[in-house]
Amino acid sequence: MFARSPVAVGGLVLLIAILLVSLVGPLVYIADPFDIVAAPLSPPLSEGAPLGADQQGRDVLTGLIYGGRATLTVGAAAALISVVIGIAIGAVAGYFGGTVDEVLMRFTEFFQVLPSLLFAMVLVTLFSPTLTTVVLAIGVVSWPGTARLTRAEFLKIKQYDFVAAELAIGARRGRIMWKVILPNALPPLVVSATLAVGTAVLFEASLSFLGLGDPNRMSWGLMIGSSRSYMLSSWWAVTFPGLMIFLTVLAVSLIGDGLNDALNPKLRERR
Amino acid sequence: MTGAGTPLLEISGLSVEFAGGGRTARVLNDVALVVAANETLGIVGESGCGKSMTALAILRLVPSPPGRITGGRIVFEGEDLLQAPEQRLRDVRGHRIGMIFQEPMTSLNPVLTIGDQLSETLIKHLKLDSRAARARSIELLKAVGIPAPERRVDEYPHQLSGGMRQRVMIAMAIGCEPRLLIADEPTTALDVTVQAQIFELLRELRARSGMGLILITHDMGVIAEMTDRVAVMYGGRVVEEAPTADILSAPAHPYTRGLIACVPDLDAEEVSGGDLLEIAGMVPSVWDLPKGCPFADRCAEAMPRCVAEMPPATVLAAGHRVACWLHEGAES
Repeated sequence: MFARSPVAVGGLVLLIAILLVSLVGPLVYIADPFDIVAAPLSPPLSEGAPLGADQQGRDVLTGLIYGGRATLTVGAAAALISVVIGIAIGAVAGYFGGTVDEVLMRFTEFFQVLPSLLFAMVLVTLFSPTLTTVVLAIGVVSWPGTARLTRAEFLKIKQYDFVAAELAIGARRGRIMWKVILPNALPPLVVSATLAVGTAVLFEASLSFLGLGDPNRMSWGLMIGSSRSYMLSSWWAVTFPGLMIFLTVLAVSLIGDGLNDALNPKLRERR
Repeated sequence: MTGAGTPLLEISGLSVEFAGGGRTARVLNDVALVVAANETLGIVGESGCGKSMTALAILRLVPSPPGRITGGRIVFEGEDLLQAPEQRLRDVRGHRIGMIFQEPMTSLNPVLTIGDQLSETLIKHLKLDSRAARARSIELLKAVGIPAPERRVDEYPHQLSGGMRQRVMIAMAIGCEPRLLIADEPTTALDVTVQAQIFELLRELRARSGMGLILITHDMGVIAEMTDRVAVMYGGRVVEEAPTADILSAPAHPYTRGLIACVPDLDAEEVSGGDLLEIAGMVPSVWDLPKGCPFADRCAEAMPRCVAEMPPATVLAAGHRVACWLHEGAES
C-alpha cells in the first residue's frame, strides 16, 4: 500500500538521500565546518566555497554536510523521547481511567497550554545548551499530543472483546496494556511519531536560530541563526540550510502521510 | 444430572452493583446457582437480565469501576473465588474455568496469529515451551473441527469465517482442559447451520472431558436441546430454577411460561395464521428496579402484593424452585 503511493515513496527516497549525505558525507569529505576557507560573505561559486561562505568565511556546503548530523539526531532523539513519554502517560490514563485518568490528563493539559517554544527556551537556558539538553527540552515539551492520541486509542481498544477474552484466560495487566492493546493502537501512533520527527527538526532549528542551540556543533539551525543579520545582503548563507530543513520536514511528512494511508483501515478501503 | 457429591460450582447470595451519577444499580441480586461436573446448566433470560454479568462475576471480571461485587459466595471446587487473591484468580481464569464470548468477530486479537493466541494460554498455565504449545495448538484446532489446522495456525483472525473464529475461541477456552466452561451466547452471531455445529461440538467436548458447562442464551430452543438444568433470570434475579424437563413441561413462574410461549411451534396451528406471542412491556431498567417482583408490571397474574414485596424462593419439587407469590405455600 505504502509502495503504491508515489508521494510517499518520493518522501522516503528524499529522506534516505538526506540521511546518506549527513551520515556518510562527513566520512568522505573531511573538513572542519568551523574553519575559515574563504573571504567573509563570498557568493556561491567562489574559490573554496561552492555554495558561498558566511560572514566569518565558513564554507556553507561543508556546513550543510556536517550540520545534518546534529539536526537529524536531535529530530529523531527528541521525537523518540516525546513518543515514549506520550505513550506511557496516555496508556496508563486510558487503561486505568477514573482518577488516574483525570490527574494525568490535567497534567498533560498543563504541558499543552504552555507555549512550547518558550518553555523549551527556558529549559535550555536553565541548563547549558548542549545537544543533550536541546533533545530533552524538545522531547519534554512535545509529548502531550501523543499522550492524548494514545489515551483515546486505549479507551477505545480496552472495550473490545479480545481484551476481555485476554482477562478471562488470566493475563496480567502489564501484558494486556503493552502486548494486547498497544500493538492494536500502533497504526495512528506510528504516523504521529513520524510527524513528531519533522516537528522536532523544526524545533531544533528554531532554538538554534534564537542562539539557544549547541554553539560547538554545526547544525542547519545554527547556520541560519548566525547569518540572520546578513539575510538580505547574502541570501546564500541562510537559504541553503533553510532548504535542507524544508526538504527534511517535507520528506518526513510525506512518509507520515503515506503510512497513514497504508495503516488506516478506513482509508484502505477507498483504494 | 449427577447431583451427588459436592458441586463443581456453587454460587449463593451473589450481588453486583453499578455506581454512576451518584446512584447505584443492583444488576445482580441474591443470585444462587449450582453446577455439577458433567452437567450443563442453562441460564436464560432477556437482554440486560444479568446473564452475562453472572458469567463475568464468576471469574471476578465485573468491570470495576463502575461495577462492584457487593456480596455472596462463589465456591469453585471448594474455594471461594470472591475471597481468593488476584494472583490465584489469574491461575483459575483460563486454566480451571474457560470462557467463550458472544462475538467471535471481536473476541480474537487482530494482530496475533491464531497459533500465538492459542499458545499464550498453554504457555502461561501449562508451562509448555513454544514448540510444544504450537503442536498442542494444532491438536486443539483439529479437536474443534478446523480443517487444515497446520495451515490455519499461522493465519490471522480476519482470514477466518465467523464459525471458524468461534471454534478457535472454543479451542482457546478448552486448551487447558478446564473443569468448568462458561459459554456466553456462543452462537448469537452465527448462522443457524453453524450454530448447530457449534452446539454439537460443545456437547461432544463436555461428554469427553466431564466438565461442567454453563450455557448462557436467550433461546428456549437451545435450552431444550442442550441443557440438563435451567436457571431463568429476570431483573438481576434467578426467578426460577429447575431440571430442563420440568421447566418445559411445568413452568411455574409467569415469566418462564411467557418465554416458552414465545417460541414459535412449527407443528402447531399458529404457523398457518395465528400471531406470534410476546411478553408485553419492557424489561425494567436496572436503575429503577421496583421494590417487589421485577416482573410485576408485565405479569398478567400480578397481585398487589407483587408490587410491594419481593417473593422468596419456594421449592416446588426436587431441584425446582421459583420466586413467585402464586406458589406461596406450595412447598413440597
